[in-house]
Amino acid sequence: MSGPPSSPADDSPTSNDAGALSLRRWARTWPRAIVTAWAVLVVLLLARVIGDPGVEVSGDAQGLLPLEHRAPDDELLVLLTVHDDALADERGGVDVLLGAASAAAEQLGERRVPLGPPSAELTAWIDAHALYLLPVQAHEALAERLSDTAMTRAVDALRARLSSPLHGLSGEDPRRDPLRLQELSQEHAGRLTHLGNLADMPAELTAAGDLMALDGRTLLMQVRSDADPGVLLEELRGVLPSSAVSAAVVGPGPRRAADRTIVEEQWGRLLVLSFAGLVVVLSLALRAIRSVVAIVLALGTVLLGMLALGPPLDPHGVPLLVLLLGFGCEGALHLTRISPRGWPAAAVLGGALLPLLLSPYPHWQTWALGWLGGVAAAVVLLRLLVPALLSLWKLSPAPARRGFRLHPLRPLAALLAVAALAGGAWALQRLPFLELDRTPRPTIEGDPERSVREHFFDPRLVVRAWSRGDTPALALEHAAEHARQLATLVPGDATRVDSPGRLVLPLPELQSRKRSLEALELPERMDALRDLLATRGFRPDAFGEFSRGAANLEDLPTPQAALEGPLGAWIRSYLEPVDARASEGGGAALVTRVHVRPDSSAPVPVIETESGTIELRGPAVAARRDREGFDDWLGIYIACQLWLGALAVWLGTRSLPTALGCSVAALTAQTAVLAVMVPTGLSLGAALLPALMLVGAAAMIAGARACRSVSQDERFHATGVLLSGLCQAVAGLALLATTHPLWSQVGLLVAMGAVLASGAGLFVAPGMMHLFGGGVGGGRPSAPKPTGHEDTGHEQEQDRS
Amino acid sequence: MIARRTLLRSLPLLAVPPLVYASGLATAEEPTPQERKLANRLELWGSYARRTQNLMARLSTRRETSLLEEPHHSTGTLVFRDPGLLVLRDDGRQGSTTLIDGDQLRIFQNGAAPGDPSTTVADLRPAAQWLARRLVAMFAPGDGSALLNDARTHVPKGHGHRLELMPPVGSAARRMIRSVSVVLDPVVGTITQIAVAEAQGDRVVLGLSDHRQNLPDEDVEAFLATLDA
Repeated sequence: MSGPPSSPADDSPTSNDAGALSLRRWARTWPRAIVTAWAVLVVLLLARVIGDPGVEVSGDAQGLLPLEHRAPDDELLVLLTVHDDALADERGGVDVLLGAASAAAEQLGERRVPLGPPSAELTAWIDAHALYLLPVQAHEALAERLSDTAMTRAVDALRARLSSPLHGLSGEDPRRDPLRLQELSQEHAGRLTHLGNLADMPAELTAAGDLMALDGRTLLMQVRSDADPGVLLEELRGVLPSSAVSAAVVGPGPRRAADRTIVEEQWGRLLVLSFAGLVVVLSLALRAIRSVVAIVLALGTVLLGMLALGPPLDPHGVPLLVLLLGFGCEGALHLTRISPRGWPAAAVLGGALLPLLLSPYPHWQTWALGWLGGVAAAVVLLRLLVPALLSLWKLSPAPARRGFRLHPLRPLAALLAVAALAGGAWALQRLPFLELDRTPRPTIEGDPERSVREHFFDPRLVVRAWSRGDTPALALEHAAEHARQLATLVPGDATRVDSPGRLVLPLPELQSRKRSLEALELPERMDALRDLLATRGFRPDAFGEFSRGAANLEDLPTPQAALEGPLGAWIRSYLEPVDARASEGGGAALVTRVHVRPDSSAPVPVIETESGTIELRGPAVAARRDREGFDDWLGIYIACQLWLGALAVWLGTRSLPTALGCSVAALTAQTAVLAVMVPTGLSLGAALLPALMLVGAAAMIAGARACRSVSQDERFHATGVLLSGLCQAVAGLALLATTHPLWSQVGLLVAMGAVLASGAGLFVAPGMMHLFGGGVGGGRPSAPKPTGHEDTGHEQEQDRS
Repeated sequence: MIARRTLLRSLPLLAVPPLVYASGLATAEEPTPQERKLANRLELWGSYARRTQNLMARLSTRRETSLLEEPHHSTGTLVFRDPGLLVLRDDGRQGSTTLIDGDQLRIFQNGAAPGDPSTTVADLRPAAQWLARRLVAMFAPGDGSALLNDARTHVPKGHGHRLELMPPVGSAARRMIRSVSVVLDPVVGTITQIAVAEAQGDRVVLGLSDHRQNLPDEDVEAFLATLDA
């Protein structure tokens, strides 16, 4: 066999399409012109790909996140780590880190944004307003703790604890809170700071407002800058003692840069590997080097076009590019036509991702059209360029081998379809979910993002809410109300609420609390406490800050006072630029950051206030929302694809049973692959949607060919279906061979899916077609004598004959 | 080409670097007076501690703090059980108990159980952890490396067999603890006094007496059972 079987009918003068548009006829008529035009196109594309602007690699792994949920690019975290080996045995890292942080802060200037308030100012503010910051609901318990009996008990317990050598190191601060009133502040998660519990984040604020891990080895700063993270890092390294402290930048930008590096390192090798695999398969199947070269040239041109004109390369896009090569071979290899003109297969394949236009994933919306364009380019080139090249090279392919009669087995088809559907339904409950904000990526040694997660918090879990007002004070007042509502999420849904609103109260609330506190007769109670302390041997003056702050109810923690006080500069760092949010109401917007728990299966928290629902935005919210509705939307995408595919098949064959049979075959392949994903350990998520849809498209095409063969009583060439499946599987295996975890998952899914799709096409579609009432001769006749072959342009022999 | 005569004459010079290196080693191996005193202290300490499987001793505590007009005094019991359990329990229900069990650090009133809500938990406090590890290492059998690990040492001049341990400069513990001073019995090697100087000015002195080493397990268990009572 020197090439794929040729079709005797498609391009003969008596063919049905003799008077219509035919790419192959053009290819035979003007081969030199077509090849010349192709050469010019390739030169132009090469100039663009090799020269300026080159291949655009974005590396954006967050492309599936809706835009409004992405973390802001300009908010970066700088992680300073002290080198263990740079310190003498008797020297710790705290001083070194604080010195480095000071140097970095000086260099960054106003770009540095404190992660927390300056600790001395925060302490003074809380000491002065500690009782106001307790909710009214806690005032009853407060009154109980201020009773003579309770105070006596508390002071005696304090005296008892003094005998412990660990007392002064335990974090208890009796000077500021001798009665342990902090325990009443549930809305502050046990501590009168906005930082939350040590168990959630073992770090503390430095005097400058940065976060330092309790082990004194790492320090976290926040930077607001549009500059390139690499430039920022170099700038910092210039002022840091490089022998003792290393710096790293964490955030969406650095993550994108790291992913870009990974993509840049791997995409070239991956595409070469894919081409190599396809060449092997094509060579073994066609055994005609010129045919293989022509196909590879056509696919290479498609690849060049996608690199030059398609979406920028990123971790989600590279697998689709590889799959485009594997699925694009379809246009060169299929043997049995679905319709006389052979377009339904291209339509089904090209439209495979179109349902994703309905999805909320921006990246898949772009790729739905990009894939359509890529498939269209592949089909046109394979039907135009390959015949033209072969014509010039005077290749005379051998006639097709004889096929076999495909006998549809209705019971088997029904059994397979039902089994696959049951398996898919079973698998949906068991497949681990690939979360939208957790795109798998290769493990990076010394990944600073991991250090931030281990020592401080997970930036991916930070979601935002905005409080708006005409002035910053009003925005802060609304933030105070929102912060208290959001605090109800702690500890069930969130670990901490980071908002300056937690330190202030709206004036009406303050008046209410003041009235309630006045009823407690605090000055008298504080006098009693002083007397009690004195009788127990304590020095009452040592607790002066607490007693004075508790007794003075005139100093109110109002938003205006906070903005004008020593905390004002820190609070203003939470105000977003007016032009960014002002259009949505109000002249100022103050952001509240909520650290949600890493449980994407939990529903998105809904917080109702008098002014409406607090809208939370962030990757974690998008992930939760995605997970909530993923199963439903998966059904919608698949239903859309089946409908579109069935429509294309029906338009091509005008046979409803064929269309329905193909849809069942596609659904069978998709559900079967879902079932197989369970034992192979794959997870299901938005990142794998295109691969799943392509499996469905492959099954539908294979099924349509089989149905066509049965309905037209043609001999069926299983080699074509299997060869298509092999090319798709090779693309999947090439992805599987990479070290990228996402690409491996996509590759494994496609490799398994391609095999299952071929099987579903051969064994399910014809049987189901029969079940739906189709049969031999049920389809519209297409060719005068349907030997049922189309080829890669090997019509010369037929022409000569 | 190097002449053979030159080569032969220069051969003895090849021996110079090893000799210099060896002499350097010899110099390095010579302990300083401070190191000698530290080794002596550890040897004395180890002569008692290396046999300890459990230990019970009388405890007297004095805390000097600016919170109080006069220093706070209390008496109690210290119990250690290898490998990592240390309990300091005041006498009477008005006192408190300090429990160090591995990485768990608890301070609770004698009338309450370790799991009571009023219990102070200091597991995540680096300074408390540093001190707790020192306290456990003081009574645990070993060569002293656990005691000296992650610490600076100083052996003060003068009377008494004292050893000072200090957190590394610049460490998180150093910001809370100035030093921990240990006084050893010059004959037996038991620890008779532990003084903790806190950075904020407080000073806690633990006096130990009536050491009873390797008691029957039932005695220790009976004491520990009183913690939950």
